[in-house]
Amino acid sequence: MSSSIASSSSSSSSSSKKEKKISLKTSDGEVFEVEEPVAMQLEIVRSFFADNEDVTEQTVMPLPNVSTAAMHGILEYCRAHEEFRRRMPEAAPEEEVRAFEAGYVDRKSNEELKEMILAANYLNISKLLDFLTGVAAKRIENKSVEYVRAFFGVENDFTPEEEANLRREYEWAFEGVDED
Amino acid sequence: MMSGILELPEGCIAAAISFTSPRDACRLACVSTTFRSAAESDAVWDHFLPPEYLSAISGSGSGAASSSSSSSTTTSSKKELYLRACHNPILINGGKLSFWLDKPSGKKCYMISARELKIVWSSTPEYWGWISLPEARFPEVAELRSVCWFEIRGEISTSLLSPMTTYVPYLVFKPTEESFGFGNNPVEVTVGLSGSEGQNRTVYLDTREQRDILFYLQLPRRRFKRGQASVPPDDRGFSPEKRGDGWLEIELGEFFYGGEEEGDLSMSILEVKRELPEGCIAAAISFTSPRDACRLACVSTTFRSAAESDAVWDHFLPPEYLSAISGSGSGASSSSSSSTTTSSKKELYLRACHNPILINEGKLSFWVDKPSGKKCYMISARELKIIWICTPEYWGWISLPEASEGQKRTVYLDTRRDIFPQLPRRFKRRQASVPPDDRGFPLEKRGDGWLEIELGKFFYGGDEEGDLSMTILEVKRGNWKQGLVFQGIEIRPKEE
Repeated sequence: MSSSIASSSSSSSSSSKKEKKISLKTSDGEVFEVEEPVAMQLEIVRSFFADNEDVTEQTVMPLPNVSTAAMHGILEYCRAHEEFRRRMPEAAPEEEVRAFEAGYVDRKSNEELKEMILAANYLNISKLLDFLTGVAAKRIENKSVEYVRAFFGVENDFTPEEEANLRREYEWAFEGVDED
Repeated sequence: MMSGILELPEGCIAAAISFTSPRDACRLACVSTTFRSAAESDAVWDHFLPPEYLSAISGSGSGAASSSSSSSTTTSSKKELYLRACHNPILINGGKLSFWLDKPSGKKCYMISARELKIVWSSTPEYWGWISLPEARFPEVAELRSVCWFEIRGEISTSLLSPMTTYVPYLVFKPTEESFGFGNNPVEVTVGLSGSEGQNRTVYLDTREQRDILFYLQLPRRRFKRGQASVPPDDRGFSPEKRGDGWLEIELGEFFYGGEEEGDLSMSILEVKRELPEGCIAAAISFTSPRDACRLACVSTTFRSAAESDAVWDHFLPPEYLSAISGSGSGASSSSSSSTTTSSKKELYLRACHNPILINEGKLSFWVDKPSGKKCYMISARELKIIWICTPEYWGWISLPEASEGQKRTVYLDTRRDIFPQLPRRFKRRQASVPPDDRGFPLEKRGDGWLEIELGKFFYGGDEEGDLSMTILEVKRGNWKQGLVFQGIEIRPKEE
């Protein structure tokens, strides 16, 4: 398994002279040189290049809503999926994808996860967004309201009466939630 | 040929010049000696000096700041006075405003003191402090020490402004040694009349030079089309500029004052919330359960809006339910199945939980488990295989009104004289020594007035094909038994 990845990545690096790269600049000024098929998974990038015929390879596309840290995470995911696609164009190796995704997300803190969701939403990568929101869902399932506020850094903007009414209306949903 | 105008009296020339601008006057002074004399006359510069300035520096009580010779007002020329009004801002309105004139145009300019701004958290000394700086116009300036929410608002009455003028408000600041936290965090700035929407845009208070080229995505999309993608198109104003006085300034927007608009011009600088958009929250919630969604609605107003959205509840509603209630022939419970399209998906979901419908030609009652959204069924007694059912002396079919709503058609079976149904084996074993009502598998009273007994558990992973079957058999044959009515077998998820 690892040998096939190694050989395909070496072959891709040998052909990298021909491979088109796209330069993406994050909010804190770092420029990422991204292989075209990987960058095209970012819908915002794809439509930018599709809509603008006069942009060249030298064009650096700024992504002011994406931090460098989030970009690293996003490219890791997109590169892995491009690799799966390259090796098995017909059907993704589901077990491997699942193993990669599980390991990938285990290392992410809640704050990182939130940043990644924001970035994936802005970059319009629906597959990654579905995956990340699913992960967020798992992390907030059966958790208290206070836990979720802390998890997403959300301000409680209800008036005390509003919140009390809502909690009364949904009383049945509060029984037996996990300890924070 | 041109000599005609030269013969105009100086007074006429001065009158004409006074209708131009200070900048024009200075240029026209170079025309001739008569022009120079006219262009520097008090008559012209008196016209350029706003009356508010004169009254501010004459009224000693108004707190004119630039101490420099306000008494000499009367002795110096109006042009000198004008230039002083441009170069030496004075404090007015009890020190709340700094006031001066824009040299080329003579338009009135103001700086609102930090003390007059509404700064969120500024009364908490850990967050904001008030210090004095020699290079400031006001005795006190606000120092940001550490704050998690950055918000500044200011207002000025439009009556103070010069009419027919496009004003540009700037936030004037300088970083301290400890400055951090603005690099990745955009702030939203807004300018407009109080109560109106105003125009807003996103800027950065970070001073690093590379900022300059980063924000053109915020500009209208047509800028891309001009082939400037790799070049920063007009990036003016999206990052701070250095001022002559050593401070930095960031443009907050523009406001044209025609002269008629009444009210206050208001300006705000707010941190842009890095909150997840409602769509992402809804996507995450739709991966949880209905019970979670209802609890998550209590997190914040955005969460509530997401948690009650159709996108979420559509996800919780089994498609089989939707097709069952849309197909009129399937015996949908009479209660307003026509209103399907008008009610929210959440209302529809709750209806699916509380009002079971008959499907499969009435063989099954179908509803949705409220906390989990899982499908639940009750198999009608007619669909059960009951031994001796065809012998009317043993079993009969009757109708009972207390069936759940809309199910009056359902038939119930009555054990007149048949064997007592056997409870599951486990039950039997325990029953041997302990009364069933105390533990194990007691008969439970249901909300609808019927009794129920658990028959066992079955986990369905999704791949198992075939039928799930349930049996209730007597352990030992023997005595006669009678007097039970069976509605059917209900299948619902195990309570968590």
